[in-house]
This record gives sequence, C-alpha cells and structure tokens, in this order.
Amino acid sequence: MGSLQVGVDIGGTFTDFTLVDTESGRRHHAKRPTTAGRPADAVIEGLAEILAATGYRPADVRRFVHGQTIALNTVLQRRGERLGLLVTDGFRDVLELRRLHLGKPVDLFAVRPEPLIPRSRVVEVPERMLADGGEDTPLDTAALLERVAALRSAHGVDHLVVAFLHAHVYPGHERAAKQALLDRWPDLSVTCSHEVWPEIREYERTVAAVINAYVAPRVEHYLADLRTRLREMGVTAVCMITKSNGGVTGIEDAGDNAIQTMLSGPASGISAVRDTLAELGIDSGITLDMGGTSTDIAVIRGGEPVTSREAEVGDFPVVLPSIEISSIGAGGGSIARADETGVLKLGPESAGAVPGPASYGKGGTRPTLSDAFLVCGYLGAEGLAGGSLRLDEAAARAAIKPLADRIGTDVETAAGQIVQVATSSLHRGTSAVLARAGVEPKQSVLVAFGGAGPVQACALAAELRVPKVVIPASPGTLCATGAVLARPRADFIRTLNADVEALGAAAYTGAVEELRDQARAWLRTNGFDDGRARVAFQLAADMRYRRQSYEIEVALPDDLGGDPAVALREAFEKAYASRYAITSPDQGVFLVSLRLFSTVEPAEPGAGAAPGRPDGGGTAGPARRPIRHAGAVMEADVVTPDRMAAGEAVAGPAVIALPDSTIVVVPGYTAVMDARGNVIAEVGNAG
Amino acid sequence: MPAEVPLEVLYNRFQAIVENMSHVIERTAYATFIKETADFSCGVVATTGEYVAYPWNLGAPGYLGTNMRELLGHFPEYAPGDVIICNDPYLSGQPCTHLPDVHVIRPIFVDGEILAWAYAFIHASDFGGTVPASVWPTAREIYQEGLRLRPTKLYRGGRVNQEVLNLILDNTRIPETNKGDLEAMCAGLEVCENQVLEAVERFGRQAVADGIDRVLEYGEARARRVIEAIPDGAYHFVDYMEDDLYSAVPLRIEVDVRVAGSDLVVDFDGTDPQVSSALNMAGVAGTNSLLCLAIVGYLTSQDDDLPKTSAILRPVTLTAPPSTLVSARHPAAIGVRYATAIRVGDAVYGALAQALPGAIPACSPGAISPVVAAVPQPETGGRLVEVVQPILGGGGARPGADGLDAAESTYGGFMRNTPVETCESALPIIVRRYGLVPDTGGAGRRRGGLAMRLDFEARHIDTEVTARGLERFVLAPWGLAGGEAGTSGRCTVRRGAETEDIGKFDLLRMGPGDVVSIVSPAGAGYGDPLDRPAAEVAADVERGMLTAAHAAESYGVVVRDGAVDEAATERARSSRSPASGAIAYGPGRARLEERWPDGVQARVRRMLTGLPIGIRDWAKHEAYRRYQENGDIDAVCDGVLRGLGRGSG
Repeated sequence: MGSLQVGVDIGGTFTDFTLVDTESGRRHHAKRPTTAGRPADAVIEGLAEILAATGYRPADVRRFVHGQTIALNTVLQRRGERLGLLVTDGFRDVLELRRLHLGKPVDLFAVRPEPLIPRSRVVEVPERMLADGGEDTPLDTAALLERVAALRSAHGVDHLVVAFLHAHVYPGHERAAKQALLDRWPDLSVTCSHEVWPEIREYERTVAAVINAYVAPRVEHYLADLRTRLREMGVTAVCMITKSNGGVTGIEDAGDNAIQTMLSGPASGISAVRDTLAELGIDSGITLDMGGTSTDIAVIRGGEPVTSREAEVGDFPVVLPSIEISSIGAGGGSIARADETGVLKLGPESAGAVPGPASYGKGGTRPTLSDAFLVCGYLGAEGLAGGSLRLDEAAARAAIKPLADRIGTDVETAAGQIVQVATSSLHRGTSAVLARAGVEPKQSVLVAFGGAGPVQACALAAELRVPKVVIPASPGTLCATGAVLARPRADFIRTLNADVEALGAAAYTGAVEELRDQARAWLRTNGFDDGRARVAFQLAADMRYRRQSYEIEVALPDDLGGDPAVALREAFEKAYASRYAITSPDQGVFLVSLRLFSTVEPAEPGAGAAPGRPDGGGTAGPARRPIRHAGAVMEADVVTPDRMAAGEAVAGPAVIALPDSTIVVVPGYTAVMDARGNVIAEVGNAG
Repeated sequence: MPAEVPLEVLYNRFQAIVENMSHVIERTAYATFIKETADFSCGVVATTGEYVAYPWNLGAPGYLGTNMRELLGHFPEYAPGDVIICNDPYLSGQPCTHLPDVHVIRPIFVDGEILAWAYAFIHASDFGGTVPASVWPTAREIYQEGLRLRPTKLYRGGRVNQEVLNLILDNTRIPETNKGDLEAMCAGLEVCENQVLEAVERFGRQAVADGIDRVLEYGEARARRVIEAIPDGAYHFVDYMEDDLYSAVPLRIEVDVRVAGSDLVVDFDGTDPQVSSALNMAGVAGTNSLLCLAIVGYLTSQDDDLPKTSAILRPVTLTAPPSTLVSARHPAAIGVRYATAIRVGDAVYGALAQALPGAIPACSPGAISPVVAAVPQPETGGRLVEVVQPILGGGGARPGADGLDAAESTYGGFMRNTPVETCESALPIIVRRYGLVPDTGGAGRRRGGLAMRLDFEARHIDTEVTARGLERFVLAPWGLAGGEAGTSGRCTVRRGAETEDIGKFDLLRMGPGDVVSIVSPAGAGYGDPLDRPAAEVAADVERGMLTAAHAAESYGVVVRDGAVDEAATERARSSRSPASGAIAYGPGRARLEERWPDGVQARVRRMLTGLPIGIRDWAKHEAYRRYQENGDIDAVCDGVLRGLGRGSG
C-alpha cells in the first residue's frame, strides 16, 4: 500500500481535496464544484482526476478521510426518515414543549419549530422508572405492542425511537421494549435514547435519538455507495469519516452514530488550525472563517479547540460534544443598505454565490462587502483565485453609487464605511465569543481563512487588540487538510448522579472501567487498535455543589489514588475556585456524570508533514496603490508572492496578493511568510 | 479632521461592550437564579440616564426602557472607582422595581468628566425579609420584603466600603452567594469601563460622546417610525387582576392610550388604588420600563432591528393619579410587581388592538408562576426548596398564525423549563404528566395556544408547594375579531380517592401519594372559528390537539375517522351565524361586571379619590362588600364615609 493520505470535504459550493504524501512530504490541494444532488459524484470523479493529474494511482491511497454533509442537510432540509416515537405515559409533548425558551425573547410573531416527529406519531407507553432506579410502573408489553400496531396501521412507520424517562441510567425498560418490538416485527428498526447519548435531560436526549434515527438511513446509504465506488476505482484504503468533535471514526461507526458527524465540516478546519498553531508553538487563538454569507468563529484554548455541548443543528440542540462554532451574519456577499432613517447597515441579506457581488459580473447589482473591498483597493483588478476570476470595478462602483447618494457621500467613502461596519460587526461577534470562553484578546492570536477572512483579519485584530494574525498556508482548502490530519476520537458518557461522599471506590472504578470497555470496543470495531496505536484516554467529571443547578466539567487523572470522595472533591474545588475564586467547603459535591474522551495518536509523526512556501511566480501589477482604511486613504505596498517567498518582512499598509488569498496588512502590523507557507502579521514595524 | 465614524460602527461597539459584560457576569455569578431564569442584565448608561446599549439575547429583556436619571443625580459628586449600590425604588427611583433586584452602577471618567456609566443588576436568590427568597405575595409593607438600600457607595475610589458590605451580608440568608453575585457584577462593571475607555482611545473622546447622543437619537427615530404608523386617536381598555391576594375583590387596570403623530401617552386614570399586598408597582416617573412591556413588545416585533436603547421610549409618556396600583407610594409592598406589570401589558395590548386591527394578537394568559416544592430535611430541620416547573399559559392567537402552545413571547419568552429528570433527581416527587391540554385554546380562524398541564405526586410527608403568580382562573384571556376567549386555569389535588378543586393556591400541603394537577389558562382565539379551514381543524384533531367533539362544537367541523365529513361540516357551519367582531371576554368577566358594574366601580373610585391613601384600600373593600348587601351604591359610599367620620363624597 502506498503513502498517500487523502482528505475530502464537501462544502456548499466546492468539494475540496487535500493529498498528503507522507514519504515525500508533498501536498496537493484542489477544488471541484459540489454536485448537490449526488455529492458522491464530485468526490469520486474529482479524486480520479486529481490522482491522475498528480501522477498517483488509486492503490497509492493509504488513508481516505471524508467530511460529508448528508447528515446535516437531511435535518436542515427535513428530508429524513418517517419515524414514530414511544415515550413514557404522561409525556407525549416532550418534543412539542422543547425547553420552552423561544428564539427571540420578545416577538409577537415568534414561531416554534415543528418537531421532526409530529404529535400524531408520538405514542405513550405505560412504564415508569424513578430517578433512584425504583420501578414505579413495569413496562406493559401488551399495551406497547397494541399501541405500536395501531400506530403502524394508521401511519405506516418502520422506524421507531424509544425514549423513556431516566433511561440514561436505567435503560432496562427501553431494552425490553426494543426486544419485544423486534420479536414481534423483526424488520422494524428501533433506536433507543440510551444507545445514542445516555445523558440526563429528557428533551435533549430524546432529540439526539430522534435526529440519529432520522438521518442514519441516508448516511448509511451514502457511505455504502461511496465505499463501493471507491473500491471500483481501485481505492482499497481505510475509509474514515470526520466528526463534530474534530476527530474521525470508521465508516460503519459513522453510519450508526451519524449524529456525531453533523457539524464535522467546520470542525475539521478548526482541527487544522490547531495543528498549525501547535507547529508555531502557540496554544491559544481565535479562528475567523469568513465566507460569502457568514463568518464562523471558534476558540482554541490550552492547545485544543473549545468544545460545546450546546451546539444546534437547524432548529434542534445537539448535546454531544462538538467544537464550538459561532456564526455571524457577515460575509463577502453581505449586502450593504441604508435603513429607513438613512443609517448604513450590512447584511444579514447576502448576494450568495448567485447572483453574487456586482463586481463578479454574474448578474449581481446590489452593493456587497466584496464590492467595497474592490473599491477600497484591497483586491486588484488582477482578481481572485489566481486570476481565474476577473473583477469588474466599474460594476462595483455602479452598485455602491445609489447607496452613497442615499447616505450623502461619495462612492469611495461609502465603500470605506461598508468595510468599517463589517469590521465592527465582526468585532462585536468575536469579542463576545472571547468573553464567553474567558480568553484575553491581548494574549491571543487571530487565525483567518475562508475567502474574505485574510482580507479582514488585520483590521479586526487591530480593533480587538490582538497582536498577532496567522493566515495558514492554503487557507482555501483548510477543512480538507484538517480531515487528513485528524485523529480518531470518540467520547463516552456515563451518568452516576451521586454525592461524591456516598459514591464509594467500587462504584467509581466500576463506572470508569465500563467507559474504558466502551472505548476499547470502539477501537476494536473500527480497526484502530492495531497494537501499535497510541491511545490517549482523558477522563472528566461533570460536578457541582449539591444545591447548584449547573455543573462544570473537571478533568481527572487516570488514577484518583485512594478515596475517590476526597480526590473528586479536591479536583472539583480546584476547578471551581479557578473559575469563581470562591469555594463552599460546607456544601456537598455532586457528581452528575463521568466522561471519557479517547483519542488515537498518529502512528508516525510524518503524517502531518508541513507544506513549504509556494513557488515564486510573481504577478505583474503596480507596486503601490491607494487603499482606504478606518476613514483614511493611504498608499499601500502591493506585494507579490515571490517577495513573500523570499522571506521579506512587509509593513502595513500593504496588500499581499497570494495565489489563493489576498491579505490586507493594516498600518501598525508587519507580515512575513514562514518556512511552511503561513503568513504571520504582528504588531510592530519591520525590524 | 477624520471623517465621521459611521453610526453603525459605534452602535456595534456599544453592543459588543454590553454583550461582553453580560457574558462575564453570567460566567462568574454564583446565584442559581441567573442560570435558571436569566434574571440579570447590564448596560452602558448615558448621562441622560438612558441605556445606550442593552444586551438582548442574554438576560432579562423587560428593563430595556429604563431611565435612571434620578439615581445618577443622587450624589453631588462621584470619583473614579466609585460603585453605587441600591435596590429600593422609593429611595432610588428607577432602575429599582423590587428589593431582590440588586443594582450597581459605576461612573466612567474621561479627562476628569463622566462620559457614561457602567451598570448591572442581578436578582438575588435572597435579600433578607420575612420569607426565604424575599418575595412574599401577602407582604403588607416594604419593610417585610428585605433589606432596603438607598443609593450607597459600595466602593469609594476603588476601595470597598467594608461596613456597608458587612451590613448587607449580615442581613441575608445566603451571604456567600450574595457576595459572589456582587463580585461578578463588579467584575462586569470593570470590563465595561475598560472597554469604553478602549473605545475612547480608538475613536477619540468626542466621537464616542457624540456617538452616545447619535445612538440615542437613532433609537428614538426608529421607534417614532413605528408609532407614527399607529392612527392618531385615544384607545381605551380595561382589564383586571382577579383578586388582591387577601380578598375576592378584583383590581381594575384602566388605560387610555393616546397617539398623536409619533407621540404616545398611556394614561392610567381609572386604575384602582394601591393595595395591601405585594402587587403594587412603585411610580410612573419618567418611563417605567415594566409598565411598557407591551409597548416595547410591539416596537420590537414591528422593527426586528430596533436599537436596544432606552431612547426608544422617548416618544412615550406615562401618567397616573398618585397612589394607584401602578404609582404606589411608600411603604406599599412591591415584591410581585411583575404580575401587575403583565396585566398592564395586556391592557395596553387591548388598547392597541383597537388602534391597529389585524396587527395585535388575542390575549395571552399573562401569568407566569414558578411552582416550587419545599420538602423537610430531617437532619437539618430546614427544607429542600426547588423549582418544579414554571407554569406558562398558551399564547394568544396572532392575526396570521395560531397562538404558541404553552408559550407566549412578551412576558416569558426567555424562560426555560426544568428537565423532569433533573427535577426528580433533586426532589422526592414524581411528575405524572407534563404537557399540553387538548381543546383548551380559544377557537378562532387562528386558534389560541393550548394550556400547559403539570401533575406531580409527593413522595415525602409534609411536602409544601407554592405557586405564586397564578392568574386568569376566572377572567379568561380575551379573544379578538370574532375569536373566542381562552380557557381559564384550574388546580386540583387528589388525595386517595378524593379529588378537590383548589383554585389558585398560595401554599399547598401534600403527603405521600397525593397528586396535584395544575392547568394553566390557554390563549384566546383570533377571527371567526367558522372561517378556519376544515383541513386545519382536522389536522389539529389528527395531532390530538383537538377532540373530534370539540371540533364539531367550536368549529362546526365534523371529523370522522380522521377525515373531514364535508357534507356534515357544510350543514353544521351553514346553520351558525358568523361571530361578532366584539372582544370576547369570556363568562368570568361578565359575572364580575354583573356583580360590580362599571358605574359602581366608578362611583367607589370617586369616593376613594377624596380619601388619604392609608385608608383607601380599606374603604374600597368595605364599599364592595356593603354593595353586595345593599344595591344602592350612593348610599353605600355615604355610609362608608360616615363611618370614617367624613361627609358624603
């Protein structure tokens, strides 16, 4: 088998490919238009072309890592499986009530999203477990079968979800119900809430099970088809699928646990940034992925992406750990307008890919942020994407003119103000994310990618007072690169719901062992445990003071040593004090659940071989041109790739026109390209 | 001279500052209240006393319109690093509305002058007073409601005033938590000050000072655009609180909403006098945000991007006679003022509905009640106290959409429920049913939102349950444009084989096996039920929101085996007459007005106007009581006055 690792990421517009040859260290990046109806077409056909173009054979592929969007789109477009839901007697409305909270706090016309399973297909079952494990009402199997028979004859459902109260700790009734259903109807597909994500909070757990069942058949079908077609073209490599937690898993596992892959696209990009920063010796940063309609923001803290258990997919919460990504409604395609009182506004409406910004010449006539970039001198007429897209400045000006008239200024000033508004809205969004994560901007780094990210990054950094900006090499295919580099990872949870004082050593070690068993089973079934793999297990506990309502996640050592009651309390109070600066020694500590994060470290370090500086290849053009920044006009140095590749330090104001991105360096920052091809801009003058 | 900074840039900057501050407070605060109900907020305050910026998607939205000019002027002098704390509206004015809300504010100096103020508040889980949590519905005066603080310097020039802090902490049940909350708020104020100073560095002092004025003017202009679209005129509405918590006498809330151009006046003349329970609201000076919930609700619903500044209420003037329910004077108790604020909101919506037919929803239940269980803890002698669920009713139907089931979006849209699993892990109870109640939403072209039902069983002896704020058990939410009223709330308790209707309750004692069932009111309907397409009625039947019997009775739609019987429906619908367009108040309101007709209420009010505030509440009860025995209201009023040693009035 060969030495080639392939990462493929399907995005809304493009399917990106990254090829890494672990022997030579060479990397190749390519893009193909996404084939929306049949996404596997772009993957298979694109891969064949790119392998041919780069002189590799399908058999050279040793590892194939894929980020898919089927699971996500199935929920967003609501085109999933027709499901029935079985719940505990008295709780038919678990999906209707949600957590009550409405999206906007005050809005007379607020709507509540329709559940994925309508109330007519939700059936109550006589059974009831209690929080302490007592059986209040035994499962009434006869009633269960009778009601499901009625449901099936009225609605014809073949896929059922079973979500009973307290099943995250006491799954007996869910198991018995599943068994009874399968005994009666062997072809039925049954998903239990405790199987998908056994965490307390019935609404969130039920939704997790519903979403998994809703998307699984489509994901399985897609992956099976992809695998067959890869084999047909001669790729026999191990296939892996990216996950929302930034890791990867086996193709079978991804089908069974499709919900764990929902938000994998952007997560892979963040994983790649994490690796880039690690190579630079930086362990804290904020990422800015600015595309056409919106900007995604994530935080890396202590060397790892900050994860969230409050992610959302469409209208629904997903509590499984995923890399936390916040979205701001500002991108290159955002449309600028004046409101009824004449105040300049940007977005949330976007020109999108079609008709696109006016300057793209695809029919857009309304002024966008990208048009303002062009008028401000950030983008030269040399265009985007290595000259493949020429920009029409006259069209940009014509689009901005009516807006400029409306706000009483000239086209250039209006363009400058559009950019200022964009920067301020990015500042508002990113500073909130930093405040929530508890990260101090002055000690952080801004990492920008996506089409418009490198254009805006320095201006935003200046506004945030972030002293350093990193534009990773090949910022346009970062997600595919992240996929190649991602490590297999799986997370497990076990609810204990106990006072740590009353827990006892046996119960604690028993629970930890159970989690490890689950992790080992995952390693085995996905073929990650080949005897050579280095597996890292990180244990954590969700704990709180007995009387509080929210727990915090506390990292734990593998071996607590001695009495877990003492060690758990100590670990909790240390974490608590570092967050709140106080502790309450007289209050009991309560352990809600244990978590285990298992990660397979790369077998050989060569896998993540660094790219080099791009080939020289300067673009002809003026050496200087005027740009607008923060309400002023200044002469900017226009820097060609060969100058960067030669290691020159470039002081702002400057525009660096690289083949796949344009970086605007604002006054006060100085940029250099490092040996790996990353561009790093720092506060200070060239020295 | 640099070009003027775009307004949106400064607006975004101010919003960024308050959003950052709210995250810092939420992340570091100790109170469980903040995490469960998000009852906290913060802001950048202009020297005019108005919010320049206020966080919208985190924290309590109801105070957006606050003006704290009176508070800012309390001390003749301030120094950098001062932090002022206060909680008493009688001594501090706004932003104070009841004692558990603890407010802190800090001047931000630039070049020796105050440029703006950093502000924050947290609803403390306890701030002293007669009962734990400091909200006691039947408190008779503010002294029973907790520690009162007039504006006081908690920090002077950056140094904590330890004596003041000690005094506060020695008078609450949870000093550690209070201390944590105060520290979290002060941390927030510091972040705010630093970021305002950063903005000054970035844009210049003058640009920021001008920016504050420009944002306020912008907020005002956007609000005026919405108000201008309301036809000029005076719009009148009366609604009631069903009782005053210590008698069956209802509380009248009367509003006259007068619109002229882009100015709007809410006149509370005709509203009942302040009462001897904690339902009072202190003062209408300036624009009291809690009296403007419906106005802010209307403005933000019409203009999704409305700037989040108090200046949106510059076009609004509130006026009320002294010492009414909404303009109470010291020492009236004020703990549950939010219940009254909600009913005021209903009345203002009722008035706006006449000004703007087709734009205002039918009435929502307007009652938010946290159901709390307290179970004895034998070891400590204390009680374990936890929220079981907040009870919200179904929302009123909207002109273009059905009401939200078990939710409403002016008064409680920011609240979250408690997972049943969490609740049962914390408390020895078993939740038997938690969900929607079919057939409850008022019928209409648009159906009112269904009621919420919560049934739970006690497992422990001597379990106490409270549910303050339950309302609309008699006076149903009113329907509009031919829509029917929503259903009223209902509470029952089952002990063994006996089931008893207990109505609204203050305190319920339960033993093992007893089951209480709380059904909220449901939203009213909008438009004629006969105009609701039969297919929509059938869809509700299929989803189990309506029974077939109710569909036939209320909508004239006959559903058999899941399908509409077209012929039978046609017959049923054609035999009915169309609904009148009048407001459908429901049977409870008719009974109330039969018992105490409008003229009788007005006569009593006239009598009360001449009396000192200390005896008005007593005189009102006396007159209402005697009128039930003697139908001659003039004679009754004369008798009451004579009894007080006063001439007839």
